[in-house]
Amino acid sequence: MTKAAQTPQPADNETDRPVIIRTVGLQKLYQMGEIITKALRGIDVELYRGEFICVMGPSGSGKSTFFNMVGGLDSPTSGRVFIDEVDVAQLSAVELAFLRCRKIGYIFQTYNLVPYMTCLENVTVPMAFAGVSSDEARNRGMNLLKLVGLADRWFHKPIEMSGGQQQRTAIARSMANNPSVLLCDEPTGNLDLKTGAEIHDCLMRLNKERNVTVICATHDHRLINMANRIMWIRDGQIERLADRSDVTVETGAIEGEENE
Amino acid sequence: MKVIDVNKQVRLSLLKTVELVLSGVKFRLFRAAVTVVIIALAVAFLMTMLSESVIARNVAVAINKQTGPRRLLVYWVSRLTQPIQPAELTKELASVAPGDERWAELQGWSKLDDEKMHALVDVARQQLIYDAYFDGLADGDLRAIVGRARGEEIYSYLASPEALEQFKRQLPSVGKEFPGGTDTFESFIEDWGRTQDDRAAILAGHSEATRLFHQNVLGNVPPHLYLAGADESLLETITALGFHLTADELAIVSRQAGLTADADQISSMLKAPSLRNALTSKLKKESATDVGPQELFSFLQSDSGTKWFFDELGRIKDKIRDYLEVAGASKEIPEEEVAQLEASRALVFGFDLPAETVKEVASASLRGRHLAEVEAKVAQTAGLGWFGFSSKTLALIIVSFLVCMVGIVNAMLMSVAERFREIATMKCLGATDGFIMVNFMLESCVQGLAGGVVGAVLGLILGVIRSWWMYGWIAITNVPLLPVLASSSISFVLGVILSVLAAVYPALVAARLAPMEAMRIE
Repeated sequence: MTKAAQTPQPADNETDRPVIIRTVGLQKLYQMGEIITKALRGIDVELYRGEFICVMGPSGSGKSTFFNMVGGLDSPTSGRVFIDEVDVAQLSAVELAFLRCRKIGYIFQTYNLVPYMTCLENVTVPMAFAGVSSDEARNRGMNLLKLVGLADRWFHKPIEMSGGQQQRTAIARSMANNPSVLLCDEPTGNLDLKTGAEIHDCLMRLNKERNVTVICATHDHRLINMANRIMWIRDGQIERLADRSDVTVETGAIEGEENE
Repeated sequence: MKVIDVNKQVRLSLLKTVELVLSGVKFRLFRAAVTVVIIALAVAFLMTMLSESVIARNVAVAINKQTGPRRLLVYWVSRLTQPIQPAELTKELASVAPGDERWAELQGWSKLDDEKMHALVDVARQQLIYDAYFDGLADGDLRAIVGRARGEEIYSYLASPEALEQFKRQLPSVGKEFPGGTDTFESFIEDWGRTQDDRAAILAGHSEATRLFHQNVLGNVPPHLYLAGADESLLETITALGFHLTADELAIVSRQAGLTADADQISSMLKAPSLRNALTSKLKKESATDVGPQELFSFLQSDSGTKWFFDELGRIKDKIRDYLEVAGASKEIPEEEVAQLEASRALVFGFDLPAETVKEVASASLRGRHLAEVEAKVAQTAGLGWFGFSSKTLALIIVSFLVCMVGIVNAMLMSVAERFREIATMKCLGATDGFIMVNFMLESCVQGLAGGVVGAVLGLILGVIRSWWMYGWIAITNVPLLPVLASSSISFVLGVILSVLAAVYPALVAARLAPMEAMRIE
């Protein structure tokens, strides 16, 4: 079984808000032959429960590596990552799977739905892994689909749905086991402006109504507009971490008719 | 400090996993079909070989039953008229027991008591073992241990102490392992020497019996002909000479002899030039040499053929009467034809078989020939080693399975590579490495089941067709049910095992995949 690390209470907590994810001296090195690449060079950050935070950075900056750490998808070379006060580095493979199943929800740029399953079945996959009975899984699944507005399409296969609908299915799936954190990797990257708006609303609602922490990697200005905090990563370190109010974001709308 | 209680992570029930796997397979039907075909091919190959050899075995047994009468005839003709060869005698002695017909015969001819007979039997049994040893040796080795003696001579040669010494000295240099110890061999040599006189007594007694048979019974008549007309008195005479022939055996032998005699008479008609020429043009052959007994018998199998035969005989007889028996009439036909008619006269007028007999004999002879051909072919394949496989076939099959395994591994690796993102996503949703592994193994298990069934059925059909091609219809009627079922099961199981084994490596690759692959932010 796991030995959870003894964690001292965070001494320098700026506010008294509960922290859901914490990294301490996070470092990640990749070794390819003789070349050592430092993807992350020591990141210390606290992410609060219930906040909406956007992560930005150019390619090669370590943004995706940081995402992987925070999402329990990878282990650091040195330093610590605490997800809900559990030291991720100490977990075995099975325990990590447990973590991913119940504590974290994932939303991908390419939706990543199972193509041979219906919408409802896709949503209930994480529930099956969590050991939920099929009846209850179906009920919860339908409720989640209602939440995202896809209740009447529960029997459609991904190939029969538009991009926006697929992404909404993915969002419903990510909420299957009531996770505390939602990890979004460019959720609106493959969608046009109009459908993107549906996704924004979805995420917004989840964040506000269910107090789910949303960590988003995105370039979409409208998402950035909705965020509580914004983080810039460059060269493996946090370049800037600011509240929304300290940042100017300009979003425009294209006049005229928009295509489907 | 928080601790994760993993006990709450429930494993997916087997049923659900199977459902998942099946729906996945349905989705990727084409790729799965390729794997199934590969497995089916390997299994079909194995099954074809197996069913062929199993059928060949059964055909050999069936043929053996059908050629029984002919073999019995050959055996008795030889026993009644020819001396027994020493090697034959050894084999016979080795296999008799008190109460056998053969035991009674041998004892009758030699007047030996039971004890001596038993001694002969023991020596014969041992001799067979040593014979087998010496038979397999190369000439160089033999020269080293027994000089120039070969066959049975070896045992008389080794009776002398010097020869035996040399044998014992040189024996370790021979590669083949000697059966038993040299002490046992030495006492065998002694026994062998002692029993030679008894053996000679048997041979002499039998030889005398055959001489009497020739002299008093056969006269100048060929044995076949004589046996064809066998009756009770013949049986008594034969038994009086010391041969133990049962009435049933005599009936079988007699009937077979009759068939042979009749067949001989029919085929000897080919010696009549007039008939042969007529047949050549009737069968539209190029020359008379193309018409042999085989063609004659095939022709005579049908009613029309037999009718033509007798009509032709009648025509030739008429011609002979018209041109040869009337003085001066032979000048009206060419000299060649006169010669032919002359040569044919005795045979044609001597033919005394009725039409039904001719037809019956022709069919029986053809069948007999066909059986002999098939027997020769089957003898090559049936009875070879393991399940009827030569080591070459076995090697071929193993190689084919290995090649197919490589193909399946390749196909599955491609499948895994295609599904990288799907696997990574599953892991993000909570699938454990073990689950992914089980998923892929089950998938390949399903493919193995499908491929195994298809392959076994296909292989059986191919095997039966090949057997029919090689041995004729006798193969179809002699497909043995139980061995075929056993072969099918074995091939099927091997197919599934092949598939599952091949899936291990790709499944491992899939299971070890990092979920990071699903997150492509760059």
